[in-house]
Amino acid sequence: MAFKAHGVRSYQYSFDARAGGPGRLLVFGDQGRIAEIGFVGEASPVPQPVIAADLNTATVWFKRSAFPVLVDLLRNHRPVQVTIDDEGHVDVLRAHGLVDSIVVCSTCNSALVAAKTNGIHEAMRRLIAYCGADAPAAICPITFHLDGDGACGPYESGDTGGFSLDAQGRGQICLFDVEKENRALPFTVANAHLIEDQLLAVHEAMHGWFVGRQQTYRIQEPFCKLVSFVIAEMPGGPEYCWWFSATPDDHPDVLMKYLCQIGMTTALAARVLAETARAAAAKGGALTELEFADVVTMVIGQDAVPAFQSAGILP
Amino acid sequence: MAFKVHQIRKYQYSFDARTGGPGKLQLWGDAGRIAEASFVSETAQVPTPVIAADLNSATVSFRRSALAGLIDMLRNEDPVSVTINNQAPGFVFVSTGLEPVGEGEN
Repeated sequence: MAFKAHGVRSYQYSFDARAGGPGRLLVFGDQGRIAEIGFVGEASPVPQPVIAADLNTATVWFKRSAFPVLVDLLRNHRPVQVTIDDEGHVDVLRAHGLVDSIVVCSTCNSALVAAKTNGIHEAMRRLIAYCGADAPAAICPITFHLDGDGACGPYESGDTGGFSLDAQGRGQICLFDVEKENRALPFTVANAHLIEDQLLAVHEAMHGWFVGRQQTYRIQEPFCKLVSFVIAEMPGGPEYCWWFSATPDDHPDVLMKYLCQIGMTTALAARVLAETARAAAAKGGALTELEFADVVTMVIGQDAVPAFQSAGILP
Repeated sequence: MAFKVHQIRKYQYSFDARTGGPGKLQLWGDAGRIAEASFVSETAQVPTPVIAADLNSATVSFRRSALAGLIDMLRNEDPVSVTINNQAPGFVFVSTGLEPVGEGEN
């Protein structure tokens, strides 16, 4: 079975005086119209969806009683998706995003989990605003594990944390907040909700954000780091090129050093990420290294390819 | 075939105790009344819209079940417009603009 999920960006609807009720509800994504929805009387049979061969658009019908619920969904919830498959199914649904992330801990008390959950959710809201897009709905909700458990395995000294996908393709992040010896702030109820305590949570969530958009570790890593500095309000901001200026060429962060040399800023990085999300959605898959470099070139207004070559990412 | 699109600035509606349900819904634009809507029962036939020759106003009907959705639209969406089209037998739509998804999310 082939299947596509489309993020809904906007919608438009009308009442039709000929029908005496709801007319059309049009649903739009980044690439234009995803679905045209008509409405039939409660006693009428619902026509079968008409689905485009590329699974990018569909014409569907619902009963009139579904109309206010659909408008409520579109108006009051985000993200919303339309999923279309080649077996004739078209669904409009409230999808999960980063703010729906789940926080678990096998050894913490409930107050500590609640404080960390508040801190992570606030950081995720800021991350989405900064990047101009949520993480792909397919990997959400993400589960943050605060200690070593069945998903993360036991903590080993020196572990920092990590992002991975579970067997269902959902994101999971291991933070080891409970065991870690080198935390900047002690892991307490008083600290766990603070935005400065979310540096690692944001960094690892950004690896999830890149899923399906750009898969190269040496591109992801410097952007994950920069976004974590911005969102967690690391001292020395809001510009952080100073942090990358001495990065050695064999370090996975080195791309940012070369991008800073051609004018990268905190604001431009946000635009690069927003454009990356848009371009990957338009392409229907992850950008290549060269396509990502082209996005940076467009945003910065200077040829970024030499920076990617200096960082050893492009030949 | 010709059509005009009118922005709705204000609206007014009533309940009529004689019928025990919605009375009239009036839609107003910069130049005065654009449309007057009546409401018919769910099983009644919906009368064809009556459209002014200059396409500046229309008299229309909706089913009673549409009233709540129309009021919700007029109260919560901006802009809302009325499209009057004289292609036989006459089209009248009350439409939103392009609304961002999740705009009302708390």
